[in-house]
Amino acid sequence: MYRSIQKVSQQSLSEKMGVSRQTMNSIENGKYLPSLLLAMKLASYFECKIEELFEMEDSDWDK
Amino acid sequence: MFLFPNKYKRISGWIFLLSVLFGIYYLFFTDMESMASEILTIKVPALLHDEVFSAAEGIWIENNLFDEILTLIIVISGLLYGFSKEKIEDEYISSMRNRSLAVSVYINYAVLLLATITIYGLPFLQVMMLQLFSILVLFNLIFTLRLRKHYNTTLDDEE
Repeated sequence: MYRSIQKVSQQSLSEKMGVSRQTMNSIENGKYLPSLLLAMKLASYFECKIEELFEMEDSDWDK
Repeated sequence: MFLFPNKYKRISGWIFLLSVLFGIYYLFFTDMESMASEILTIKVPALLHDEVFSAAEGIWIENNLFDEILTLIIVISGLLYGFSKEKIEDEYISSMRNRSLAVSVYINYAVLLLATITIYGLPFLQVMMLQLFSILVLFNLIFTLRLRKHYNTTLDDEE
């Protein structure tokens, strides 16, 4: 959502974050939970808090 | 974790695949002695050796290097292939590599446990010898399949 608001392409964002587009796609689809460092980089790029980008679900407590 | 440069990935992958296939052929479909050329029989220094199978002069024993060379090629190419960087090496790829390694260790030792209680004598030693390579083969196979799935992920449209 943040990416579309800022009109930045998945390719461009993944290049800025130093990850592949497939990885960025997996993060956006919730298939992969990024490291704290990458999450902080994303939050810094979008100038928002990490919890605005990622939210915990109840099932995450069991992981 | 230290990883080798990406330039080694493709070439080591092919060498690994071909050497493993050749190793299987060598082990199961040939008279192993017939493949070993006499040119490769030389005296080598041995830290430990079995006097039944090799005549020794001090630390020097006569040995055919064919299987040693094949072992070195399989192990070195397998390690290079599994531990070379991807073109874009990121944390998801690292995570996939770690998980593939863990799964291959589990499978390899599950097979060893099974072999321990079902296979005895010389055949058990052969299973143990195969396990030296099977962990590398399993790891590379699982990692490659995961990478393929990752790269073939249908990407969402832009914007």
